[in-house]
Amino acid sequence: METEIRLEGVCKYYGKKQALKDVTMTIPSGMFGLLGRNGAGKTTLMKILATLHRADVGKVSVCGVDVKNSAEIRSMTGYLPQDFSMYGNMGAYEAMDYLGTLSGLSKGERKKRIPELLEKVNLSHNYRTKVKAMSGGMRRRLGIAQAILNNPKVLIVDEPTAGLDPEERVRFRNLLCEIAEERIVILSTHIVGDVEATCENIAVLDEGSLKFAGTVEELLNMAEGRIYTAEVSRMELEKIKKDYIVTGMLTKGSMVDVRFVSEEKPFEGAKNCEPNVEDAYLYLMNEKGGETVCL
Amino acid sequence: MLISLIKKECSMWMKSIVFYAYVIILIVFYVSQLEGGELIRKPEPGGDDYGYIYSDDENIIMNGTLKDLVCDFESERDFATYPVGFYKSVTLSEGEREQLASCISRLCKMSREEWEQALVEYSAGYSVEYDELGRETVEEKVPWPIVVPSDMTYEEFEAIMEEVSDIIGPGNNYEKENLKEHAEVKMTYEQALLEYDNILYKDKVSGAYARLFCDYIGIILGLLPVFFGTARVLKDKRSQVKEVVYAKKAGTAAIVCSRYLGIVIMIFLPVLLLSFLPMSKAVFVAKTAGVKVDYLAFVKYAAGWLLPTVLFVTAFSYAITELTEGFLAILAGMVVWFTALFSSVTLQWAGWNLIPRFNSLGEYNLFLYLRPQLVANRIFYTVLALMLLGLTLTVYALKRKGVLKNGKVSENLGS
Repeated sequence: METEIRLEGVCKYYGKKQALKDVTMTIPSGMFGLLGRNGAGKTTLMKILATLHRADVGKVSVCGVDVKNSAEIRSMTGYLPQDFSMYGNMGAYEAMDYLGTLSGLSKGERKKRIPELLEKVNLSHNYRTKVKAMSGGMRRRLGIAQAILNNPKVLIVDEPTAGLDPEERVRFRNLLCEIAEERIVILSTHIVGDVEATCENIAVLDEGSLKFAGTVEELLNMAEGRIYTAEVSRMELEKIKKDYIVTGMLTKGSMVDVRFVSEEKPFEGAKNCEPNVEDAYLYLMNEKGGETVCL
Repeated sequence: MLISLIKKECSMWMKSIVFYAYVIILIVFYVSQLEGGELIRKPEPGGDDYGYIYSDDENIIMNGTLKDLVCDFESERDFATYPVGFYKSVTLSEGEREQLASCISRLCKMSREEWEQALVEYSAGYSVEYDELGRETVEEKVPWPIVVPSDMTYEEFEAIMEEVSDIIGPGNNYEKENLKEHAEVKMTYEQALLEYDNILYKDKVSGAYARLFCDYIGIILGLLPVFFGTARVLKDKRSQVKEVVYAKKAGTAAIVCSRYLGIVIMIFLPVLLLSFLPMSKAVFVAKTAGVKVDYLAFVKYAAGWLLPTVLFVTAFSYAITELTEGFLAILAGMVVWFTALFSSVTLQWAGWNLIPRFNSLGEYNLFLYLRPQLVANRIFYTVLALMLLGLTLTVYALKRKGVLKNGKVSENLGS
């Protein structure tokens, strides 16, 4: 049995606008990060995998099953949409019970599985808490619990950490990592930190085109030797901003610690440093232009 | 899965304000229209009004029809027709009026001048007076002069009436199956007694009350389910749960049918519970008269009469709202309801109207006469409901695949 997702030459149009342009890649088991700016085509790709949209061109298979076979795909996938919500006057348990029924679970299975999952997402004391009374983080945790109700082979999670406070974000990321031990988890986000903390494999989409597909290490290798730091004055900072891609800044009184991308040593005093994923991502998006890098 | 989903739908409605508003309106409507109504009583000899009945006497049918036709013709008003169950006014051309006058002449074997002159003389001696209570007294100095001659057979009469019907157009009151309705005569004591016996032994009392119950409740069931269908679809939109539900394993048929049936159950159940009130009245009358009551009469009448209305109106609003995701279904439902309510030919009529009427307690024979059109009507609306449900299933399946969004082919669904 295959445990990967394959996309071959996938195109998607919304009227005249092309949302996905000939996307070909393989998503292996474990955590997989899908990075890109807002409007890059991430949600479209996720929806195609969740059978909510159809690819106009190309082939998509999930664990060996063509996505056109939507009934089978739905039984093996879990989906957490961006801005997950449920009927406001339902309690957490009731919402899970309703969605469990829609997932085809028997009453016995629901009785066993729902408490386990609510425990896992730290909502075991909120069985009766109404969805409309939940915080964003609680709602997102309920969302992930409902997405894995049917113990799916593939979990599709769209922008799950947007709008969460830092503590909730870390908790949520850890939860996803735990879940990913047994299945494919596709995490779509524009927050590079989420991918850095959780994913081994990533893909980067830009305006519907696949810009990169490979491991995090491979992405970092691309930026190796091209990231510099320097302590400069505020006056010098303006010039650096114009000439280079600035990936970070830290103000220290009248001086600024600046982190930027450069193909070669830019000036005396600039020190080469180890790139992080954010540096590599920005390097890829700005320096590599239209070039596709699939490793 | 379907049964579990239906139960969940019902439990969701139990928490909905729409459901409780419906129950309150239903009860208020029942109490204001039906509670404290008349009881069926045995007719007493010597009474002056036992109600009316349609006669089977061919002579009465022929003369009654001719009289109505002459009156309609002379009033020079448009002819009322109901081609597909709804009112349509027909204005005849001069040529068509000539043809109709010729038919009248052949029916009464008098020239047009003769019967028009006879009508003038009759009208001169005709007067209506009202007493202080508003009761009318009709005085005819000359008997109605335009009659079908005794040598005319019923077959000849029917052939001429077919020509009349062709001139006026489809759905008119002179079609072959409507001729008997021109033969309304006052019931005699014996007929009233027979009618009473029919209620006791054929209707088993509860049947008569069930028909009156269905007549009134059918009026509000022609509208209120609209709000349920709309509310259910918009609930998904407002709560932003559409995509979560779309992505689940449950088939489109299970999702749509469970929601549809959940609504139908939650609308129909209070109706059945409410029927216990008139049922208790029927039981009282039956016990007083010493006859057996049919305890299932209300269930049978409600299922055959009211359920098709609920099925249709729910499917109508569900389909339109699934397609448009707005409040259009409520507006459209109101238009359908007003049209249906105000296009009934009489208060004992089904035709193809969404809201069949039978505003009488008893009149078993009249009901038997109207029953075939009621059955056809109810089958028609049930089939329509199933077709609309099929449309809803198709729309939902397309939305689930991202082909449709709010009823439009998706163009800008975002990235």
